[in-house]
Amino acid sequence: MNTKLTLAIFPLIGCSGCENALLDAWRVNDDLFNNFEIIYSPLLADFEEPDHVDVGIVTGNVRFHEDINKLLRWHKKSKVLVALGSCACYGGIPGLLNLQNIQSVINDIYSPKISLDNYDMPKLIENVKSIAEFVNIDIAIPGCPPPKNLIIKLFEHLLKGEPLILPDKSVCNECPLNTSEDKVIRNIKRFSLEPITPNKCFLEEGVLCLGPITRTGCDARCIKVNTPCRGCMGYLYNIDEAVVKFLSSVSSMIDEKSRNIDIDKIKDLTGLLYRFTLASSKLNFIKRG
Amino acid sequence: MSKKLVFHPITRIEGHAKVTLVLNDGNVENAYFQVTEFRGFERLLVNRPIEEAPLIVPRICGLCSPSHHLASVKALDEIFGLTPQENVIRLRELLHYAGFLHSHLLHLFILYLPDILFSDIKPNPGFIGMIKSYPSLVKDVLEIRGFAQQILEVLGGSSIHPSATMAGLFLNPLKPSQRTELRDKASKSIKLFNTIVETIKDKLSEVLENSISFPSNFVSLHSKSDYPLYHSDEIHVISSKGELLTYFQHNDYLEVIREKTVSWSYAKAPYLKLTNDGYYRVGPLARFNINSKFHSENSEDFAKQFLYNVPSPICMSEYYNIVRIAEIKYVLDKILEILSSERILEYTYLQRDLKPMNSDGIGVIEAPRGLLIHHYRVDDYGYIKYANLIVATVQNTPIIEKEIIARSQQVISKYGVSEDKLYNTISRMIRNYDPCLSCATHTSNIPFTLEIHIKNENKVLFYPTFSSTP
Repeated sequence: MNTKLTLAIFPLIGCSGCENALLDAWRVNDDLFNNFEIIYSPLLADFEEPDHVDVGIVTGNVRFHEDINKLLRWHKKSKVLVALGSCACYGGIPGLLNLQNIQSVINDIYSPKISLDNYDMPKLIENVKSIAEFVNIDIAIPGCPPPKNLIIKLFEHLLKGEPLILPDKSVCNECPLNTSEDKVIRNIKRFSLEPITPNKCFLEEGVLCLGPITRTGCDARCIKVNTPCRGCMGYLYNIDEAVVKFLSSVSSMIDEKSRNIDIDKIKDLTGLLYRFTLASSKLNFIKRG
Repeated sequence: MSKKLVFHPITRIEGHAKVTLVLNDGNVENAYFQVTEFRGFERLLVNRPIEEAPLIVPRICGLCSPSHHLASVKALDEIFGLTPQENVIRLRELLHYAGFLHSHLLHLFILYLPDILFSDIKPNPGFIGMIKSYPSLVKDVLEIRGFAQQILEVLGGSSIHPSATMAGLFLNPLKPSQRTELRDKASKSIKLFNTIVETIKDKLSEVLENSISFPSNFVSLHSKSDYPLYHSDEIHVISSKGELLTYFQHNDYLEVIREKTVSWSYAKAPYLKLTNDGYYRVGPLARFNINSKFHSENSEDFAKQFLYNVPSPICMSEYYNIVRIAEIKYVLDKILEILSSERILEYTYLQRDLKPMNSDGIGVIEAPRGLLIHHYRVDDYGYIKYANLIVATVQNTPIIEKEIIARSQQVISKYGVSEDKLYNTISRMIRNYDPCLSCATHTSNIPFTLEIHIKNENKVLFYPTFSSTP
C-alpha cells in the first residue's frame, strides 16, 4: 500500500538554490523522508506535471505573464501550497530591479532593433512579484536559502498535517553577539571597509544589521560568520512597518553627544532595508532609468 | 517545407529553457537554445555599495554561489588595491573547492547519471528513480555532498549563498577543532568517492564508445604550476587543433571576448573577436584541454585511464562528465592538502580602513561550469556605477546550438524525424555541458566607451576602449 504523501516542486524564476537546499536536507531511507514521494520536479526528473498533488512547493518569483497562469494552475492542483524561499515569499533580491523601469532595462540590454516577440519568448511583467500577490499560501518558509532545519520542520509538519507557524522572535534573539538591552550607536560604519571590534554587536559598532526586525529561524547563520544580517528571512511585522521601526529604533540608539554620525555614508537605504522584500512593499518607489 | 519542432521544457538542468528546431525537408535548418528566464543582476547592482556585491551576487545561482561570491571578492580586492595574504587565499580556495564538490556531485549523480542508468525508461525518473533503485549510491553521494556542505557552513554560514570573505579579508577563520574534524572527513570522502567511481566506471566507458567529436575553440584560466580554479588571472584560448590562439590577462577580457544579442533568447551570445566562427567552449573540458595536468595524485590516476589515451584536445562533449569526475578527485585532494596544514589556523581577522584605489575591479575565476568574470566600476565613494558579468553557461550556449544542429541531423538521417529520439539526444547532449540558466540570464551591457581611471600607482590596470556594440 502506498500511503506516501505526494510532492511536486514547481519552479518559477529563481536560482535553484531552494531545490539545492531541499536536497541538502533530504536523507535517503530516513523515517521522515520515507513518507514523501516527489512526483514532479523538472530539475530532478522528466515526469509530466501531475493533475493533483498533496503538497505543491513553489520556488522563485513571478517575472513573466506566463508565471501567473502557471501559479494559478499549481495552486488548484495542490492540497497544500508551500512557498519555499525568499523569492516565493517576498520576491527576493531580483525585486530590487523594481526600482528601475523594465522597458528601459530591456532596451538597454538587448539591441532595440531586435524583437523577442518572434520566437515565442515569455513576456516580462513590469515588476517582480512574490507568489502571495496571486494565490493563498498555506505554509511560507522564507530564507535565502531556506535554512535546513526549517525544511526538516516543514516535512515534519506536513506529515502531521499541522500548520507551521514561524517563531515570533527576531534574529537578535538567537544572536550570540546580542548582549546589551540598551544599545548605543556612536558612529555609522560601512561593513568590512572600516575596522570594528570583533565579536561585538554590529549595530553597536555602527554597522547596520537588520537583526532586530528580521524573523528568526536561520540560527543567526550570517552573524556567526561575522557578516551582518541582511534580512533574508523576512520581517516580524508588515514589510514597510518593519522598515520604519528599524529606522526609528536605530535613531533612538544614536548617542546624542556623538559628533561622528555620518548618515550620508549609507546612500542606499532602500537597497539595504528592502534587500529581499522590495517586491512586497506597498510603497510606490520612483523608478529610475 | 519548413517545420518547427519545440522541445519544452529541457529537464534536469538548472533553470528554464526550450529548444526550437527548424526543419526543412528533413534537413535541420537551424536550432535555437532558448533561455526563457530573466533576472537582471547587473542592473540591480547599480547604485549599491560595492561591499554589498559579494552578498548579493551569490543569489545569481543556487548551485555555484561560492564561485560568484569569490569572483566578486577578487574584483573587490582590485578596487581596494589589496593583495590578500597567503592564508586568506587558502581559506578562499577551501571554500571554492567545497563549492565545486557540491555542484559537480549534483550534476554528475543527480542530474546526469540517470541518463545512463535509466536510458530505457520513459519518462526518465531521474533522481527520484535513483533513490528507489540505487539507494546506497545516492546515500554515498549525499554523504560526500554533506561534507562539502559542512565546509561551506563552517566557513560561510550556509552551504548555499555563503558569506565568507570580503576585500582582502576572510571573515570567519577556521578553528582548530573544525580543521581536524574536516580533515578526517576529507580522507574518508576521498576513499568513498573512489569506490563510487569504481561502481559506475563500466557504464561510463559504454557511453564514451558512442561519443561524437564536435570541434570548437576552448577558453579557460591557465597555470603551469597547478590546475587553476582560483589562483590564476591568465586566460588561454586554444583552437580545436590545440594551437594556442591567444592568451591575455583578465583585465583585457573585453579585447578578446565580445557579446551579441540574439533575438530568440534572454541570454546573449559571446564570441571571440579574433576568429571567424568565434564560438568556444568553457568548463571542465576546456580546463583540461588547456591545462592537461591535474597536479593531484588521484585525478592523475583517473586521467591515465580515461583522458590521456584520447587525442588532445578532446572535442567530445560526453567527456565533460569524465573531466568532472577527475575534478572532483582533484578538489578532494586539495581540500585534504589545505586542511592537513596547521598553518591555515595562523590567520587573524585584521580589519583596515579601506578606500577605493581603482575605479574598476575585475575578478576572474573558474566556476564549476567554466570561466566566470565579474567586472564592477565604482564612484569615489565606492558605489557601483556599472557591472558586467560574463558567466560560464552563456559562453557555451552558441556552441550548444551548433551541436544541437549536428546531433539532430544525425538522428534524422538514421531514424527519420522521431521527436522522441530527437528530444532524448538533444537533452542528453545539452546536459553534458551542465548549463545553468539562472546564471546565463545575467544582463550584460558591454560598455561602449570605457573610461580609463588608473589611480593605483603600484599596479597598472589597463582597460581597453571600445566605441560601440556589435
